Amino acid sequence: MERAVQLLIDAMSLGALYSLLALGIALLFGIMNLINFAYGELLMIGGYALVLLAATAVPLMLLGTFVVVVIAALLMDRIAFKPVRSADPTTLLITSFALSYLLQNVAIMVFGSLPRTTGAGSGLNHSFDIGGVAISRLDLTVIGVSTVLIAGLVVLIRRTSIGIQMRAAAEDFEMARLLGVNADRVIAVTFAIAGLLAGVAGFFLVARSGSVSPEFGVSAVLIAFIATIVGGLGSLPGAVLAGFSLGIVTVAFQELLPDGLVPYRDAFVFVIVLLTLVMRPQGLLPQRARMARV
Amino acid sequence: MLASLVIIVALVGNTMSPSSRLDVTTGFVDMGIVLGLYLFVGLTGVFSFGHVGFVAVGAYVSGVLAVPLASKELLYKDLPGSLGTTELDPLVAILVGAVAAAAVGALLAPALGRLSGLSAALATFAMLVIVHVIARNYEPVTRGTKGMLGVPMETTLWTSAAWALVILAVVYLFQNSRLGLQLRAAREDDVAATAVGIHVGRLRGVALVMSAFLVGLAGGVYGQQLGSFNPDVFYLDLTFLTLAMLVVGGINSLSGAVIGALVLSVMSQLLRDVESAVNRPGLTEVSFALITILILVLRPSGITGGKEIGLPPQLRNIRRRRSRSVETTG
Repeated sequence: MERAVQLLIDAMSLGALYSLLALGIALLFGIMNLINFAYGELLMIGGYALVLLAATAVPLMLLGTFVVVVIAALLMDRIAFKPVRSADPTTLLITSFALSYLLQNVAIMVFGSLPRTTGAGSGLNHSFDIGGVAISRLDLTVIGVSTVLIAGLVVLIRRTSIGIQMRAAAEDFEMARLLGVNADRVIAVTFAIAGLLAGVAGFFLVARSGSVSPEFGVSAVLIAFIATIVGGLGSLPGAVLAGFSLGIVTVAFQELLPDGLVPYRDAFVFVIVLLTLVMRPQGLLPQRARMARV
Repeated sequence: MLASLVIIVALVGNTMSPSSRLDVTTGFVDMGIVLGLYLFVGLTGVFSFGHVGFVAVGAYVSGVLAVPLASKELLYKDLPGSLGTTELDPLVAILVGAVAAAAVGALLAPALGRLSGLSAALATFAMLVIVHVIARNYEPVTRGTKGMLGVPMETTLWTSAAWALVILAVVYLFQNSRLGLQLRAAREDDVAATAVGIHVGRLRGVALVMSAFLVGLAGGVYGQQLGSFNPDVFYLDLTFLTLAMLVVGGINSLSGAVIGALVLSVMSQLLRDVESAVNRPGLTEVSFALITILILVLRPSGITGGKEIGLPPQLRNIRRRRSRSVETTG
């Protein structure tokens, strides 16, 4: 029983983290049809910001990191993606690939290719005991903060003017522009929100691993990409659902596979991803606006 | 026209120093991969992140088959079945490796027939990860992260150029065949294509298997160029490089695939020369990415913009006139 609760908490914590990552990608995908692979480098920038600010007080460190990442996200939009915005999705995709590669190598030039360790967030690594279950403070924080952020995002998108404009742009970008939605502003706000999510997720990733390297964001962004597509091509509830499912499936395979097969865990996870896609080509929660209308 | 371009590059490459010749060889191998990738991505319009997985299958299968028996006893003690006692001619091994890659493609084909757009891209990516994880962990055959060793290094500048030409010819013939035309019709408008009786899903499957075969060939050639390699050779970096070559050249034309591969190969070579001259590590990668972004910003549909380059118009007219006269007399 204790073991089950323990695993459930692990799965929820991993799932919440994946959901945060997926939301950042899915938001942009919904509006621009862009899978932004350079999102991983926002996580990396956040990580290095934490390394540099680790000596300062905690609130200042977090605030500084978030500001840096949001600014980086806005610059990314302005410099790299705005000129190719009207190009077809493959060009956008390769642009984001190239940008990601560029930023990784800049990081290698600046910080070196070896991981940098940092104590930022290590205060969260204590765990306490409830009825035989060791619960780490980090897991609880991840679950709590993610829930709050997701709820906040729902309110923002449902209730505020900019949120309504974002939804309109996601549904039909041309139409929204014709009706007076400021495209540049909507996209910039989306990048900023995605940046904030990246800042938070980056902090959690650093707190989990205790180090940052130039390839820090790569595997995270792949997870987010998978969750975005499996969830339903930019559907936000779908991204959250798929993020949690991925977390649960990963933890389940880790626990249930026989010892000899544990190194193959990711292969099994991806088999599940493939099967899900074959059974539900439109994703778990398809968006009606994106379905072919023939 | 494109074939002569390849031959000219090979001739120029042949006059260069040994280390540059190695780079030209790599360029041809990359071109082979990009051409095979084009057969699927360019003709079907479905994006693939997974073709490097086929490259890996080609390289590993042909590699393990071609390793000489003497080194097998030393390096690969736990090979299952009769693998430990077989040694194939390197050329045959490459073909077997390509068949293996095509078989993996055939496994994936039914899934891709049902998917489109980014879902299909993700499905191919899932395949890449699965292949990568297996290559990393199936140590008796692949030696895991320690890497393959002792693969005969048979690939030279000329053989790699010859393979690139063979692949180019196959892709050219396929593109202009009945199936190729049907695929391109489906790329432009799959609903209309279905309406005129084209079985889009099945055709895509055929294209995937063929392109997996060609890319697997290139993988085998690559493996025999490197001699020793580990799973990370066939992962995200090579995926990015080959896709960038295809998109920079222009995703919708065969010329784009050839030109993109040439331009980016030459560019990275030049950058590496500059880097060693000014002694700033990392410069190559950074400028490479910058220039790629710049090309895409300036020419969002790639260098060729989806058009084929061919013979100059005058020459083409002569050919057309001749064929017309044949028609009237016949």
